[in-house]
Amino acid sequence: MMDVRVLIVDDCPVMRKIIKRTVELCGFDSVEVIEAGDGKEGLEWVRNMDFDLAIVDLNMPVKNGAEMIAEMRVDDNLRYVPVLTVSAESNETRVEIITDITEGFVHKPFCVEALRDKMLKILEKQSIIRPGAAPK
Amino acid sequence: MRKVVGVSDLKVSNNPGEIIITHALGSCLGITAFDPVAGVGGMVHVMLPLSKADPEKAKQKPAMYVDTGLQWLLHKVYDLGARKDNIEIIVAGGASMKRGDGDDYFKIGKRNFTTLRKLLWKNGFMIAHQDVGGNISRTMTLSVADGVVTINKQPINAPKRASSVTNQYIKSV
Repeated sequence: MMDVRVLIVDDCPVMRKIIKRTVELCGFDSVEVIEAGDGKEGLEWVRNMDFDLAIVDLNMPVKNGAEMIAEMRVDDNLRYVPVLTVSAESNETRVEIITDITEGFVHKPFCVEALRDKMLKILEKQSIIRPGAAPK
Repeated sequence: MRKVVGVSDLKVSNNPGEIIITHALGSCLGITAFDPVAGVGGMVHVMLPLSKADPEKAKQKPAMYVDTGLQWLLHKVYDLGARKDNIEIIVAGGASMKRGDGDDYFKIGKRNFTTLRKLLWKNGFMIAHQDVGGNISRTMTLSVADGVVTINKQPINAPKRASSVTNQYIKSV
């Protein structure tokens, strides 16, 4: 019922670890988490594998999150992959733009429960998990 | 039937007819653990963050401290058949005991909640619902029949007739 595959794109290994653990603690039957260290690597993964959700940081080296998301949104095969951005971005205009083209935004530093709730909301909306099936 | 949890006290139950209740949560924390599959629930009312402040006291009253209290609560619900994968944790309390313009020097409420969060994270739990902080006195109840937690809130030092607010948290599974 609740098998999900999540891509985490963040240049900070500690942050990737925290997000990964949060995803794992959501109580899904089975979770596959793939990690990428920048937008370029993230794009390679989404082009080669189907994901239920991509959790993407914005400020990253090589290719930043905004560039990665923009490329996904003009690609017919990738435009419907749900994206949750997790960033310390404080510029309101940029946050608004990102929020418009993604399914959600979580501001760093975040509380893990807030990340979990946002993630579950997106997965419910995409009918990947049924409403009210939110785990513990 | 009602089971009242006092300060530094713990109660667990697998009797669907029982309601577990604790009163006057200020900077203290009320923590409930409920397994909807096993129908087992428990509540602890802890006062202080870490047992290392007084290990002897912690041995006599494990429910006085967040670390030993949480551990004891989990062991007790496991003993009644709860499973870690199913347990939902709900937290209330951790208020600031600031009076008037005075400062909440020890920040016990905040420290209690920070300690709890760290322990839960380390042990692979997430908080299902929380109602913490502020300058509020809370009363928390857990219905063992369905895991519904009710939190009644009233401002600290408010007159007895001050209006109170009640929130209800319903099990998510």
